[in-house]
Amino acid sequence: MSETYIKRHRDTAARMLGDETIIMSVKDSRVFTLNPTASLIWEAADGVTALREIVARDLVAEFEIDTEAAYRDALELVGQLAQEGILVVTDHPMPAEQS
Amino acid sequence: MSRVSENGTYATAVAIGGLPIGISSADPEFITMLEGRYAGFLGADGDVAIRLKVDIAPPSGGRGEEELAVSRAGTRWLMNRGDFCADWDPVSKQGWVRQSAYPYAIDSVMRIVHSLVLAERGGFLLHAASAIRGGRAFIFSGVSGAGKTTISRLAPSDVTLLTDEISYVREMADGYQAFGTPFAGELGRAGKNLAAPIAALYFLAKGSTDVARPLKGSSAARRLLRNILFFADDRALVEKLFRSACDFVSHLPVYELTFRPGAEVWDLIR
Amino acid sequence: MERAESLDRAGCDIAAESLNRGHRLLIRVTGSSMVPAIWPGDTIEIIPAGEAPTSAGQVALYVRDGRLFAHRIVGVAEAAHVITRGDALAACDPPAARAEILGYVSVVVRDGRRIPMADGAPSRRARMLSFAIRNSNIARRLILGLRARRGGAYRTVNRCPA
Repeated sequence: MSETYIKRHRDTAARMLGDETIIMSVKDSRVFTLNPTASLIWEAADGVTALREIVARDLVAEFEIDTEAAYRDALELVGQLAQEGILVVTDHPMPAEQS
Repeated sequence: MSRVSENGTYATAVAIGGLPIGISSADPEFITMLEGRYAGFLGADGDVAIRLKVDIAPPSGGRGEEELAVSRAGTRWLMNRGDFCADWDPVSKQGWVRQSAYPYAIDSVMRIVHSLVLAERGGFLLHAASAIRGGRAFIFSGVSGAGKTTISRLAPSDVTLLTDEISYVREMADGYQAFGTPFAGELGRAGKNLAAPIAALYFLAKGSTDVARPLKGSSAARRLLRNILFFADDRALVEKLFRSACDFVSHLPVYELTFRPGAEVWDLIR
Repeated sequence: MERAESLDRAGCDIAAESLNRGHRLLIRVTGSSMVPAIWPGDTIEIIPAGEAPTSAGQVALYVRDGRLFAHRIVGVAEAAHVITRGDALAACDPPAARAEILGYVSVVVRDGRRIPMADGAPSRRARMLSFAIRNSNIARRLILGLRARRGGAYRTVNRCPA
């Protein structure tokens, strides 16, 4: 099974305010807010850490929940963020020079 | 305030937000009209940060695109609307405007130029009323009908109104300041040419009680972004405005202010 | 400086009666909620409500709290109400009753030029850049999933601000 990698799109500006993240897509100035859990995933979206590892490290360890269920939910979340054009989702690592 | 230069043009300066803009024209009546329009906000021509030369031309008679377009060409900003066109270079600080004697054209040019300068410097124009009380500024933002004009009308005598329509927020070395502007809203009068450090931002809502509820970061930032006035489709500046809005709500208290249409609401504003 | 016309309640009554009698009305705009379609200083020509159907895209003139507003109809709440919004604003106004609509903006007069009022929402480029806000409801499923598995409780993690 291939891994999923996620990276914050370079055409975004983001800021953590309290425990939420506010993100702007600079292409069209749409603004999104991520709740605390989604914020953890966003912060970890460095392009080189597999989503499975992010979930295990940042969600399962913190919340003591079922790994597979959390991974399915995370996949759905990142898919929607990708549809909105603010997250890049691929099956291979994306080192820093790519986006 | 106006003077005649050697080449026969007439000049004056309008200073809003601590930014004096020198305006010159070969038409003395236009300059006289401006000085009447911006009385209270006139500055010394020698200190201007920006110079705009205004060519008065007959109205264009319907030619040209009516939609406002503000775009960059190299370092210059180009502004076009059906009733004016303008070209301003922030590097040389010089620019020109071509319009008829219609006063609202230069009004719009001034708003646009100020919004561009503010965005670069960490500030913004805001769809909001603002007022000074006890040496501090309070900002009241909200959609039309939310109460900007109402709360301005209800202000007691110890409150000085800066504007009932468009607030001018600048980031200074030691925080944020609100400045008065001559851009009148429904109250029909210019604000006072004063400034004060901002104490709080209120988003207005009408209700049956007077209560101020603190808004947390992301909610405050979203609401602030909704009310920023900006006219250029420029990604770099839009991103700056986003960061400025986030910085602003991180540094200052933001509330949702529900109020009845009575002066008692001002008891909460101190 | 020229004083903008500020219509109080009596002025609203006069405007309403004038339009109800079938006259057209000219009003000088002071606010900036309809930029870029209508700018402060523009004069708007209003046709009586009966001369045009109520439909999304029209800029409707209505009275609220003793003041006149000219905002664009963006939707219909139910048969008797419409939803309006200033072009420059991301948030909608409270619903307005159709019966409150006095007329529609037909022409914007600017610098002696008559500009037909465009129906329909302005293009993305034409809109003043008030930010289009969209809440990320999509994050809820993830957090709801976590809460269900832990019986409704979850810990937040303190993060340092970016």
